[in-house]
Amino acid sequence: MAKTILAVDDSGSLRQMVVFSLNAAGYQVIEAVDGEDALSKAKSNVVDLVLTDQNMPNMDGLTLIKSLRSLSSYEKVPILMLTTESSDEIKALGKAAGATGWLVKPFDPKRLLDVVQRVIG
Amino acid sequence: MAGQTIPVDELKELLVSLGGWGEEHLEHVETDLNRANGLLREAISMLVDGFMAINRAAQAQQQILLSLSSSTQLSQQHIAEVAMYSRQIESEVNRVVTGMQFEDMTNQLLMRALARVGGLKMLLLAMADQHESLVSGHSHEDIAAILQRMSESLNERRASMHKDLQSSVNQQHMGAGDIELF
Repeated sequence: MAKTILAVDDSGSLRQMVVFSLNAAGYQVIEAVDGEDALSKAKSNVVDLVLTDQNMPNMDGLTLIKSLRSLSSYEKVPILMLTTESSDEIKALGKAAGATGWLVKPFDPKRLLDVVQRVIG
Repeated sequence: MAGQTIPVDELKELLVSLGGWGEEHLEHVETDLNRANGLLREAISMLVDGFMAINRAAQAQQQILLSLSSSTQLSQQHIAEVAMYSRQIESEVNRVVTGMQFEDMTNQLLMRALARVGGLKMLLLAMADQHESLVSGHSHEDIAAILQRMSESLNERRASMHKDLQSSVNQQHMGAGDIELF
């Protein structure tokens, strides 16, 4: 059965590129437009991996990670940040919030798939 | 300073001119940034739609070639060429997917520039508004107090803008970014 990835980004074009890359590799993708939307979809679906942006309206990526980690069903689900942010300070905040890894945009589809495979097989 | 008169009217005129001139130019900047963002949004939409359609067609074509290669007498050279083109398409698709992420970044940069323009407009307006407080005949102390208030107001707005616009897009090229697993 195909694994399900929750892709969170407020940019429609970026989400399309993520969905295209992941679908091509056989993953099923649920899209969310911001942290709030993602949290709601995460609660109503079984998700194997969350791939989230940081800067989004309504709820940012770090807040989403903290909210997900407070749910027992998301304690161990890998969460990858995919963001333009690249400073050591914000990466440290991501790590402390419970992120599994950090990918700086733009992503290369092949490298993205390598990381996804490493964290969810 | 004793015996010197403060040129209040000239000071008022300067504040009004600076506010008006600044606002006029910033409105043009705002219009151009919004227009650039709109054009980029439309362009990326066309590019994504076109890319998806080309990719679907290329995949369908590839399937046909694969079935032809197994059912007909294609030479080894043709089979090798089909495989080579297939790898080339895959590599180019990856490059296009990386490149097409430009809109996410340019949008963030333009939104940040627009927020800064908005903040600068507010600063200029706040400064121009203070001209009402200046009245001929004010003492040095009164004028100093008004200028001090203006300065404090500007500093507050500057601090607020700085806080709201802390995160940034530092990318200077479209090469793929770093990856770190914790």
